[in-house]
Amino acid sequence: MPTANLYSKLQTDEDYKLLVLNGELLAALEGNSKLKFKAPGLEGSVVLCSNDKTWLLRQKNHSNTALIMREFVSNELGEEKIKLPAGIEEPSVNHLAYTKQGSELEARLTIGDIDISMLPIYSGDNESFKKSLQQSNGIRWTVEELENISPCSEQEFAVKWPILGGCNVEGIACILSQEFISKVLHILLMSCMAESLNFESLDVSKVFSALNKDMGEGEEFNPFSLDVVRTVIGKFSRVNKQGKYALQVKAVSQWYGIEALKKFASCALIPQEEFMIKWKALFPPYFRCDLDFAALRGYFYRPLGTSIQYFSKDALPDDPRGRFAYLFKLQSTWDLNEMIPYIEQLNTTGVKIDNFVMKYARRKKQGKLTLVSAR
Amino acid sequence: MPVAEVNVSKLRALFQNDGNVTVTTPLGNTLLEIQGDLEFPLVPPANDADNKFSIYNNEDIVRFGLLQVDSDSKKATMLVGEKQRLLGSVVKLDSPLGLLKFDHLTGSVDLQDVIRYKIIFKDRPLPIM
Repeated sequence: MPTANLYSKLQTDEDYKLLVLNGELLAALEGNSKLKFKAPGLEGSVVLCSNDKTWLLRQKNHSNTALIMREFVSNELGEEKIKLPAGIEEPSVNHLAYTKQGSELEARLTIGDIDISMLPIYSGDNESFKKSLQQSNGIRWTVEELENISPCSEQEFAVKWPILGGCNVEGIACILSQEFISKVLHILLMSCMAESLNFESLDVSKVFSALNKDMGEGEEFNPFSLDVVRTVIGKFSRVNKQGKYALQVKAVSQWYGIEALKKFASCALIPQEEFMIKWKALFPPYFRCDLDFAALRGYFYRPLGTSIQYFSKDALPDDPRGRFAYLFKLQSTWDLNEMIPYIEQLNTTGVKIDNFVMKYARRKKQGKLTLVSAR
Repeated sequence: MPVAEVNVSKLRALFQNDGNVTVTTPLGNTLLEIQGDLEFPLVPPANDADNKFSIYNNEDIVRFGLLQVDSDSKKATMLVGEKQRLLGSVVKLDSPLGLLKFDHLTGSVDLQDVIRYKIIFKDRPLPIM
């Protein structure tokens, strides 16, 4: 059995870390995917991103000592013979421990995230946008800079950014206001229909031309820039393999539904049938889509059991007990399906939602419905 | 360090080769794990009677033991100093470990090797008789 001399640096190198390469990470490396470490802030968690996935990193400490050694040959080592124990061969190779590890980095797959809380809002008025930028001293990022600091892979960013209404205006990453998105979407749908563009395969430049056909080429500021059009199409479409946008009619329908709730059911109750008529009336003329009332779950409640009223879940308390109490104050009995959007984010352990509500409320079956009420 | 791309250029060939792997990686690294810690002085002592301390690439190093690995039985023996003997084994890691080197000056990260085996010494040392 060959014998190796073991050496160690007296001051081992602390620039090394061991990363557990799970199957997904290995697959990403084997697939030539670039891996990037991203640290969103001083206190934020470090993530590792491939082209399309994001992993949260956790340092797992252990009490063992792991030495990383490499073979070396040196003429500088002493010539003196080492006193060997009986039965041990003369060492034929030298190993030098150059780093000592007491931990490993573990990667857990997570969903990429973009923090938009610090971004300016753009409502289509360039002058007031510029003024608001001058008046506030907040940090301004380009879209590229924002992507770099976001704990999010490149592909996840490309999908999430337009969904959040993210846009590039004057070289600055900002969020389009809800009102502006509604306005652009409405005109965009009408322009596409007027130009007979195929909603299943939209080309951004053609949509941009269609939208700007009636805007003229005068000095007047035109808010429908290519970036704005790209954001709004991206928000309501999926990109196919050919790079064309396929409009998601359900997403458009839901957007108009939420707008209808805000417009007609914010201050007063409205019967569901009447609401459906008003919802339908909001769409551009001749735009065909189905109205799926279930898509609006999470945006309304029924204070008196039948008629509906708009309600934003942003107003709800974050703790489960407080949230359930608040929901039952709004409405004494809930259809579980209508309650789920308000409570699902609290179910962090991933138990079945029927069982989760039992922790904070009473549940009973009534025909096909599951009703939830306070204890 | 807001962003640092992991440079894997040196390792492309290793990802394709999981077949004939030895304890020492093709890039010459070996992972050796022991319970507890090995304690060395931070500077060589003035009186180094056993010639344990030397200099390599302008850095102080210490000879702390001898290692024997039987590649057939996957058994390993490590002699620490003149009095302690540890018996261990070669094990395949459940998931390979990537050896990363962080360069704080350039903000870059290098994946320097992929380690698939380690020599582990789980038991207490035995005396050398």
